[in-house]
Amino acid sequence: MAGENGILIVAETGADGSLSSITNELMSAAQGLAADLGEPISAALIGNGVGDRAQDIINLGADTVYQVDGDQFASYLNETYTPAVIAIAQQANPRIILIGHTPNGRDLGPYLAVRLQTGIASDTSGLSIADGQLQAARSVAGGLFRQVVSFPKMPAIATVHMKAYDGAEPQSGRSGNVVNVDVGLDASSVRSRFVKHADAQIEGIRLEDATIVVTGGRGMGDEAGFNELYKLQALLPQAAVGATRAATDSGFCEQDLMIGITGRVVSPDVYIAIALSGASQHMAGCSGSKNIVAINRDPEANIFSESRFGVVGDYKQVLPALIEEVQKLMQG
Amino acid sequence: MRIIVTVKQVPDPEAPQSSFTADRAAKRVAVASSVPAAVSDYDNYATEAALRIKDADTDSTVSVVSLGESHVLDVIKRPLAMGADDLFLVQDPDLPNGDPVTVAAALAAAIRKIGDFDLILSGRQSSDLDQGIVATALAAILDIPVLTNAIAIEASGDEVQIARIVDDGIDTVAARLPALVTVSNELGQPRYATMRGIMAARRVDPTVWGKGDLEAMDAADPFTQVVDLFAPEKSSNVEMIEGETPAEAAKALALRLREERLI
Repeated sequence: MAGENGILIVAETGADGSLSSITNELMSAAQGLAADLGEPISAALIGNGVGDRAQDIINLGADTVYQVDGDQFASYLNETYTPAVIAIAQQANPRIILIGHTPNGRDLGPYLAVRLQTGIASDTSGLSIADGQLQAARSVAGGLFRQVVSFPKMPAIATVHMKAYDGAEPQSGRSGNVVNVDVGLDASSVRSRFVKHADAQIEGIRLEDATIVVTGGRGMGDEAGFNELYKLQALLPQAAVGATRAATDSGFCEQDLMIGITGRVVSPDVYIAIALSGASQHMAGCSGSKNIVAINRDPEANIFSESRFGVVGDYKQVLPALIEEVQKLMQG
Repeated sequence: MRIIVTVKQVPDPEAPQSSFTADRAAKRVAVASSVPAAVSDYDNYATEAALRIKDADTDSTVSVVSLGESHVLDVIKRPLAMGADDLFLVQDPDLPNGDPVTVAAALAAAIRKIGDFDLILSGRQSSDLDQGIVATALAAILDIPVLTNAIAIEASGDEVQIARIVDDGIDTVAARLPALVTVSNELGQPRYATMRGIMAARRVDPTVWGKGDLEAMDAADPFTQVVDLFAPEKSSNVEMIEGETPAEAAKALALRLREERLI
C-alpha cells in the first residue's frame, strides 16, 4: 500500500470500560511524532459497547477514531483483535502503529506485524522521526544497553513501554471524526476462546496507583522477613508493597506483586527499595519513580546509583528503626 | 501429544556486567569470551511446562528446537537432561542482530521440517534481547492460534487452556490444537536435570541443519534494522545517609524524607 500517512494508536480499556492509562501515554508519544511529521493521529478503539469512549480519545488528541464494536470483541483475544486492527489499518493506512507494551499489547503486536508483512520493535521507550520515518529506542541485555531500531517497511509497529511517556491530558470538547469499521470476522475461523476473567484480589491500593511503594528483594531472606515491609507500608498514606522477581520466585509473597520488565511497572513519588540489588530487569519496572530510596547492606549495590537517598546497612537493623521513626513522625 | 519446545542459547545473564560492552560499529553487544553460554531463562519454564504434560500423559513426546549462530552442546542439551526426547539445531552464522520476524520465519521452516505437532511451547521472551516477539510471530507464520505469558497450562484432548496475568487480574483463555503457548516464570521452578538425565542426554545426537537445509531461510529483506547500540550514560547523585549505627542512619533517613515532604 502506498500513501501511508499519520500515526495509529491502539487504545485499551480496563475491565470497567474506561480508557486505560496506557492510552493516554500512547497519545502523548504519538503527539510528539505527529508534530515532527505534520501528520494526523488516529486511534483504534475495539470492544463491546465502547462507543462512549470515542469522544474521550478525541479529547486526548485523536483526529479520527476507528471503532470496532461488537460482542465478538467483548474480551481481548489475539484471533479477534488482530483482524480488527488489520481492518482498521486498511482504512487508516498509517505510517506508524503504536501499541502499549501491556499483557494484551505484547500479545497482539507480533501477530499483527506478520499479518501486515512489516516490522515490529517491542518495549520501546524513545520514539523519534529520522528521515520521515520512525526510529525506536529500546533497552537490551537487561538495560545495560540501548538499541535503536529503524523500519524499512511501513507501517512501522512499536509496542511502547508502560509509563515511558507522561499521559496526555484530555481537553474537553475537542472535535474529531468517528468511523465505524466492520471487521467481517468469520466466527468459524476463530480457533481460540475467552474462558473467564478473575479480578485481582487487592487489599488496599493498587501498586500502580500508590504514591509510595515499599519493595523487598531477595535479601529479605524469607516470607517472615518480607512481611516486615507491611509494617512500614501501613504507616504511610497511599502506599503499597512490591517485590522483585527473586522475592516472588522464592515464595516470599504473591506473584502479582512482582515489579520489573515482565511484571508491573510503577512510577510513584517515593520508591523504597529494600534488600534488592537493583538489577536492570527490576529497574525497568520502577525507574520512572520520582525518588528512589535504597536500603542495602552492600555499598556497591547498583540500586544506590539509581537512588536519591541511600542507607548502607542490614535491613534487619535499619527497617525496625525506620518504622519506629516514621511512626513518631506520623503521630507528630 | 507431540510437543515442540523452542529454546534459545544466550550469554549467561548472571555474568558480571563488565563482560558486556557495546560494539557500536557492529551495532551489537560484545560478550567477553569468559562468559559461559546458558539456556535463556524463560525457555527452561517452557521445557518444564512440556515435561509436566508428559508426566501426566506418558505417550507424549517432547522435541526441542534451537536456532542460533552456533551452539554449545553441553548447554543446549539441558532440556534433554531435564527429560525432553530429541533435539534439532539450526545453525546460521548470519543470525546475530536478526530481525525477530525473520528469525521466526527460519524457526517456522525448521518446525515444518520436523513434522506434525500438537503444541509448541516457548519462553515468553529471551533474557538477552527481551523482545518477546519471535514466538508469537512464529505462531502467526504457522497460522496457528497463540496464547501468551501462561502461568498455568492444561492440555487435554484437542484443546490447550491457560491462565495469564493481565492488567487487572487473571484471564483464562483456550485454543484448539495445534497451538503455540508462551510460558512465564509464574508457572513454577523448572526441574533440575537428574544424573540419569544428563547421562541419557549425552547419548543423544542432535539433528543439525544449516541454512541450506531449510526452505524459505532466504526470506525477504529484514523488517527491522538495528541502526545503533550504545551504553546509556548514567549519572548518580545519591545522597548517602549515615549514622553511628544502622538504626541512627534509619532515623536520619526518616527525618530527611520528612524534610523533603516525601513522607
